[in-house]
Amino acid sequence: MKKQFLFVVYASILLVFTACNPDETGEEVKTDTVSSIFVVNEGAFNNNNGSISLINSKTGQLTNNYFSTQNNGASLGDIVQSMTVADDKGIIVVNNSQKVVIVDMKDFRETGEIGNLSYPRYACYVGDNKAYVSNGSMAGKLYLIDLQSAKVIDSVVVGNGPEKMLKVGDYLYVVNSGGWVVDSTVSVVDIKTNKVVDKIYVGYNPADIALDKNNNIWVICKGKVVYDPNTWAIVEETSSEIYKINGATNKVELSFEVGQTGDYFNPKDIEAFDNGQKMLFVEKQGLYMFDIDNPSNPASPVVQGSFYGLSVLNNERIFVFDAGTFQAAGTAYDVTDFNTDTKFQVGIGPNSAVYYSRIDTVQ
Amino acid sequence: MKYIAFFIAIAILSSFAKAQDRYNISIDEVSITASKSVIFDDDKQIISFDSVQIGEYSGNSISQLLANETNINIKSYGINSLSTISLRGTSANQTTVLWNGIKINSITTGNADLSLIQVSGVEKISVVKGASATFYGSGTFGGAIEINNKPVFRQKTFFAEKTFITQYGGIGSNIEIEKSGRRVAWNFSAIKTDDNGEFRYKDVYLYEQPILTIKHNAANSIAIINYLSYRTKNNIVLESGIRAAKKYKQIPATMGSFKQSSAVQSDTTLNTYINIYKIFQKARFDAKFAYSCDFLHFTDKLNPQDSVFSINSVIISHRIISSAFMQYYFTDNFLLKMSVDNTKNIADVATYRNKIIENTSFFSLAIKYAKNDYLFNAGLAYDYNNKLKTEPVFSLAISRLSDYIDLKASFARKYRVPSFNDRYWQPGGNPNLLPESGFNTELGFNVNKLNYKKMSTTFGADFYYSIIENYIQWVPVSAFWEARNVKKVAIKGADFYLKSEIRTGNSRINTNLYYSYTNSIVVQDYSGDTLTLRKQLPYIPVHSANIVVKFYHKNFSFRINQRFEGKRQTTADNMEVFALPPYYLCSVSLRYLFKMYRTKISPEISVNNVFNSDYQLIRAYPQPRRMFIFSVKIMFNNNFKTIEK
Repeated sequence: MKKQFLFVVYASILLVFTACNPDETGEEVKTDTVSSIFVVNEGAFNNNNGSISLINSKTGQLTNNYFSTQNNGASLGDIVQSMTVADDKGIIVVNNSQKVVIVDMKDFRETGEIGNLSYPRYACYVGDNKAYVSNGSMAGKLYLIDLQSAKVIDSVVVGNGPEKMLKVGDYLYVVNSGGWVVDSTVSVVDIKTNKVVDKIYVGYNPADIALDKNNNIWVICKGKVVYDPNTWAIVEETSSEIYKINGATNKVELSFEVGQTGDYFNPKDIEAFDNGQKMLFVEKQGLYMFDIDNPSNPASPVVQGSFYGLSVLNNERIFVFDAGTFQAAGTAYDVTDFNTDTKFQVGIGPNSAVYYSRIDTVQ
Repeated sequence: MKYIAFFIAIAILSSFAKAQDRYNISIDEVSITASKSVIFDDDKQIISFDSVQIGEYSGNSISQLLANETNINIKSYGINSLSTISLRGTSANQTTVLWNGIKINSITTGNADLSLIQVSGVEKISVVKGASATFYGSGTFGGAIEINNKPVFRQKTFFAEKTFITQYGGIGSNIEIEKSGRRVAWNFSAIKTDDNGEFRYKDVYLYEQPILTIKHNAANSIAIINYLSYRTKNNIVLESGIRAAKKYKQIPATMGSFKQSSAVQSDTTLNTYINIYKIFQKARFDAKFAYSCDFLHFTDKLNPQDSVFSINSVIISHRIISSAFMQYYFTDNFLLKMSVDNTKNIADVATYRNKIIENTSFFSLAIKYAKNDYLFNAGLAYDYNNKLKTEPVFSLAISRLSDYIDLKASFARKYRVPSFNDRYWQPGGNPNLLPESGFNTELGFNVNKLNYKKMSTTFGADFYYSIIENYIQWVPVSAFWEARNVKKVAIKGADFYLKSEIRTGNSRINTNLYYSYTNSIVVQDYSGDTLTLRKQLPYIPVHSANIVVKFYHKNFSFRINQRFEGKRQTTADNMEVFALPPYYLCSVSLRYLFKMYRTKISPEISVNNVFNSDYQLIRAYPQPRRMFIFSVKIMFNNNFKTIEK
């Protein structure tokens, strides 16, 4: 009897309190998905005018110089090379300021900074508040950084000029672009042990890496350009190439040339699209696309133009970037519909963009 | 329409001038001994410094003198670093710099590094705003700077030694010797500096904007100038001059960076000439041979501890000039000037791939005619170049001179031959570049000698309008950058000055005030881009001013100058967020002169940037906060009363 009485009292109290919950009263908690596109603007060399532009993915509203606005006018630095989203944090790599800036993605306020990196290029989040940062213009390293403490906690030696990275399961693939010299390898790092476990030979100076729907890996190689150290005349040049690596065996399955030797263009971007069914890359005449089931050098671009960078956002939007003269605002084109009608005047020297969304409660 | 307005303005000014006192003039006989271009600059605003003013800056570069004494826009990468001048909204290679009539702008870049030019031993410096291309040749959209070392034939024995030390341990020493008589004039100057380059600055690009000490900024330099002149009994003058300078400079990292810079630049420059001239009753004939050489060595490393250089660049260029010059008075009022300058420019630069040899011949014909109180100048010139085509240029000017007000108006076609880097650097050099071309038109007035009790004042202003077509700029093209003719620029502006002097007993106060308004904008982009249209060119302030007050009392002298530089854009589309904010810069110096027979000893303390302004002349390159400089100058002169230095 006593237990029954207590149960009734408890249930009554619970009912009273839960009745205050709008959910129960029919007043739904309103939420909204905030989808943002952050454009990385390198800035002009030695001018400390790199920046981040924010585009509201739904409305298209543009806010330039977003980092500075959110950080009391602080400058981001010189040659903002890349940005990576790591859960609720953003990792911004500032190449010529030799630093990595960590921001809170909710308000874009800086939460930490890692300096004294000789030539940082890109970051790749591997979970648990850890990320790798590729570094080095010649002999290269990956630095493992802790985003909470903003400290380098480990490093691993890879090839020359390591750049973009791709996490596949417990492994990290990094293209060794050669930097200021030459390389032709992709290093595979076991994230658990932080050791290089494989080295895959591809074409000269691999610059970017992408994963298709079959978990195979595609690598774009700039090709080798050898300059006379005194005259800077080109004494040797090889073609740019795309390589396909079997994701299970790490063996090269095929390769083909793109662009033309001597066209003075070194492609540096490849991105997966259409859920990994198609690959996009930028060459001299514009944006090109091929199907992974029919890999070959496309005869013509899907979007004509002179583009400095390429990003596929959330597998649904394609952006390309025109850096202009590096002395004025550049342009970010939304070419999802394969035309350049939708464009945004962003910062100086835009080279890429990242997508970030979160669910916010609406008051 | 603009031309009609121009001539209407001349007419109005002329009629106004006629209301003033008539003042008959003839061409000044002094002009016959002046340099070949200066005598035709009556219609230009000239800021001049004589040997006394220059002497106050011995041990400094011309860059420092101009920064303190004028409001001229100087772009500097920091202490002892590359410093270039921008006159009237133009770029550095659009101002010609001459040393004793020899152009010293770099063949490869077109710029003149003012930090390499010491004021020691210099007799006169003239900044000619809007100088005419018909007299100076290529690259005078902004104007010209004339630096002359020539001492006068006077009975003088002079020796000076100055030692200076900066707050952070920089040290330098400078000697000047002059021995001159009726027939021989000899002037020698040498300076050696050794500066660790340290200074404090606020790094506004770093988190919490810390105050830091700059690293990797040491510099040392040595420079000599030697001038020897001999005058024969039959009035033939033989002149020879040598100017040599060598500077070693560490180049610091930019602000906001964690970088440890390893970049080092070494510049060596040599200018020599031999000149012979004879002055007749109505004429002067000159023949000159000159040789110049510039050597630049730049190295950088990926990491400071590396034993090999990542960049090891050597640039060598030579300039050989032979010129003849004649001026002749047909009457007292009518002067004719003719000149021809043959120049061979040679560049041995690895990135050009081939040795480049370029021959130019500059022909100039000018007349100067005086009638009552009017003065007319007209010139015609053609610059033959075996590598590219240029158009003839002309200039017209009229001045009305009187006791109270001078009025002047001028029109001149101008051009600039692209630098060697613009044409031959690989990749990106463009041999098909057209010369920049355009014109300058201006109106001006000077109000002379407004005397009130013990104060005398002069002031004046020039209003100008210039067009520069085929403006050259490097733009990215695929994987490299290329020099192209990209735009048309219009510049309008005004330069005001006021000078006053108050004398009371043993005291004297001199005040110079300069103000410039400069609107330098792109009016046409040849690529069709509209982003930069009507936008101010980068690093050109719309407003700039400087007030210099010098107070002399017996043996004390005190100088204070307050410089103001308005906001400067750093991007072509004027993105406000990257603009450099306005700044004020105050410098002071206090000197005392001990006199002992024929010797003077002058200790001095100077303070630059008194109020610790945190400013940048070029974005991301730090400038020093407050800095103290101590110096002692010892002078010996056989006759201080006649000429003081």
